[in-house]
Amino acid sequence: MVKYLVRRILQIIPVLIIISLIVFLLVNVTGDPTSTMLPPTASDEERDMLREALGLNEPLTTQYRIFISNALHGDFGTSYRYRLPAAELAVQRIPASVQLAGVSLLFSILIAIPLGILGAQFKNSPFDLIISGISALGRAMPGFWVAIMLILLLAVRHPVFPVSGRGTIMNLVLPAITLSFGTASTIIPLIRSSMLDIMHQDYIRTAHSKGLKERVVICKHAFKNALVPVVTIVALQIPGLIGGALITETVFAWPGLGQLLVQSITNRDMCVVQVCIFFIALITLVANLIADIVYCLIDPRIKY
Amino acid sequence: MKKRMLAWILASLTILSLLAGCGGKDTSTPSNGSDPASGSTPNAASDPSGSEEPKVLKIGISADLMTLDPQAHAHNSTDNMFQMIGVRLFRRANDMSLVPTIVTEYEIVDDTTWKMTIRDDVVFSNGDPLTAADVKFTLEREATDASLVENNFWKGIKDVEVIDDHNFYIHTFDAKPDLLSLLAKSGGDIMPSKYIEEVGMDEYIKDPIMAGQYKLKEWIPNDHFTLIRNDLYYGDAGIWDEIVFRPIPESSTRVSELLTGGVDIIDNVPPNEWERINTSENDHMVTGDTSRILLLNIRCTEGSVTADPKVREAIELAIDKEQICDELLQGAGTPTRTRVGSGVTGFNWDLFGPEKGNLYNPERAKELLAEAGYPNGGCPVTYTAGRGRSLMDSEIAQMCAAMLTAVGFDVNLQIVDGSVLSDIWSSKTNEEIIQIALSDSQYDAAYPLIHYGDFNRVAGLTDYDNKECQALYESALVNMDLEERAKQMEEIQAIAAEDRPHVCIAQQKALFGVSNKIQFSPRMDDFYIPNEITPAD
Repeated sequence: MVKYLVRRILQIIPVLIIISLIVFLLVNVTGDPTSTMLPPTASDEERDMLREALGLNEPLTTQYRIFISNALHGDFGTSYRYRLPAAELAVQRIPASVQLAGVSLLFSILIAIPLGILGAQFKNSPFDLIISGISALGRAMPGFWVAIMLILLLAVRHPVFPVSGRGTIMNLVLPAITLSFGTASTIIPLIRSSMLDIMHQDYIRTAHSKGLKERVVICKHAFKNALVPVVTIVALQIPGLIGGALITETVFAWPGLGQLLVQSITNRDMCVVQVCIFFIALITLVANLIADIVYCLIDPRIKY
Repeated sequence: MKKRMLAWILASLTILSLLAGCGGKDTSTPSNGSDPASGSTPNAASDPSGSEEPKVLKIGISADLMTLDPQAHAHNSTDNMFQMIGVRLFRRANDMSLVPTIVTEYEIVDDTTWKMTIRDDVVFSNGDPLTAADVKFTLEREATDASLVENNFWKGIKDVEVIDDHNFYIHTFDAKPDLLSLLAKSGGDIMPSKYIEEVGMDEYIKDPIMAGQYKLKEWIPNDHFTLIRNDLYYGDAGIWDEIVFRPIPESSTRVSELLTGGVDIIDNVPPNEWERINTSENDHMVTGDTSRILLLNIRCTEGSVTADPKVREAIELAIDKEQICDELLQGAGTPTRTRVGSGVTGFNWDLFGPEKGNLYNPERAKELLAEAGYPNGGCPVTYTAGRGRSLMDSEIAQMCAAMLTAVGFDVNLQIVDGSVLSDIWSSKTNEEIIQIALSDSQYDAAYPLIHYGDFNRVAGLTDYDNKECQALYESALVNMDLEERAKQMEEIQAIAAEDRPHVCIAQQKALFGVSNKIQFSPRMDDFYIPNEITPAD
């Protein structure tokens, strides 16, 4: 297991380098950062002088070599737009992103697990149909619409929560509900189908025939074994919640990594894009690593 | 054992995510005091009429600050903040006329030399006196550092010669009649040279010290920035204890914040949200002029279909600017035929307004197309516009394209992301028509008229090459007779309006939602002047 973990951690390094190269090339081929920095009346000469001052006139290979060399020393460069260290800008956003993602994931799991289990237990009952319906609705409804409706209902018409911003726990509720709505809707059918598979296994029938209580059979024997695919899907949701919550972050003016990333792509702020992608990739890889560890914990047959 | 480990992992994840939220916030500037960005819990908005509570003004803005470097931006929100925390040698009054701030006397020594005297009681917020050396440092940095995005405005300044602590000469390379308007624009906020020498520029721009009415308390990017009163300010004290700006990019959220009292003023309210505000008991809409002109940049390049003046005229005559202003912009625009905003020095009033600014005549447009060789229509043009770059831009593009099609143009409409439009513009890969909104941060026609007076600036963009315009422009740039200079610039506009390298559509208005607790009148430069925003009672 330890050997496996070391190998996985070492694998992260080339993956990050490859990702940085792809991002570097994509950002560079899609446009010139000076186009969004200079006024529209700027001449070609002025544009060229700014490019020179920012080091953008160097060949791409040289630019990338300098970037990687500096990154290895912990220097991800300076944001063209903010004129601040790119890493500092991204690190400032991480607490907000982790907070929102963590609470959303928690909400999602707390909603999805009981509803998924109950859906399987009462398969094809009206209750199951309602849960499946809500789950399908959750997947179908666009996040921005849910967000705006929540604001209108719970912040404007009935002023229970703040409209936007970050600061108190109350500020967290509406964006977390918005995000967890979509995530829970994805997890519920998975838990339900996974539970249904397990419930038909021999050992569950054995547990029933031994006279164990239904609650014990479901929680102790069935649910634990149904968890492996759920862990996979939850791990896959994490990067999306950290870096891909752009719409929710924008609607709720939540100062997270997703918003910074998209703004930086729009502004061709290469260093910031690189560092955001770096952190999101790192979080993704760490989430996958944790998922692998959790597999071992919940199913002793899985070995690395 | 494994169960316990699993439980620990889950518990740690839960605690970590909550701690991330409940713990201290990361700031880019020193932070203290209350948490102004916690949004609009009921009644969280300030009560400016209360005498005991601190007077806090909260403003919801669509775009965050760009940087804390006073000279490294061409950005409205950032400029707005710096004009509150900094002082410039001159400023714009409400009617956009130029007035001195810390300058007590000035004279033109010769065409390239200005002598100025500044007050002796101005200090920076760290207590350092503001002297001529600081003016020299500020102006020379902007004029010589090519990495600063507005260097092209300032590079006409040769140097600043310090006479003593409060007297100095500004030397320019050529005669510079627009020097005072330059000194009033972004980048002109005086910086403390001695302090910067001590800490270095990189440190300085993390927490900029300036000499304005307010000082920056903190900036948490994408969350809020807060200004507090500068007790060392030389002039009238600010009436607000704190001014909190909250970047809220989504317009419907901004409106909701206003309606729930989370903020007192919001900017950039799109027309579809006006009713929500105007039907509210507690808020209202206000509008004001801007220097922003929505226009069609048209290729005059030899060989392109729009090289024919008749085709360009047909484009202008096909578009009903009044309908666009009334129906799409719902009054938030005025038809115009000039790239210069009304009220800007050198503006030509004969090209502005519902009658003079709108030449709509579809029948004549069809005749012109026939004369240009398209009697049955089918004149092919590619029309490129951005989405979300300016007010209703993609909707206006669709309406214009429909109007052009109606008179016989075969329009290939391309609506692209705002940043892609910037790329097309700067790389000069535009086709026949590119729709863009351009403003003028100097409020002097010399800046917008560069498109007609300096061929190098437009080569590959419009390729508009009119020797008469260029001669007038070159003369106006160095003409110290301001009256004659204004006439020259009016003439350039009249010529360009006939030649049509640009078909200007509308001068756009600024749109604000305002709480009834506040009295606020927008300015043309969109600046918030704290002491002109007052409690309603």
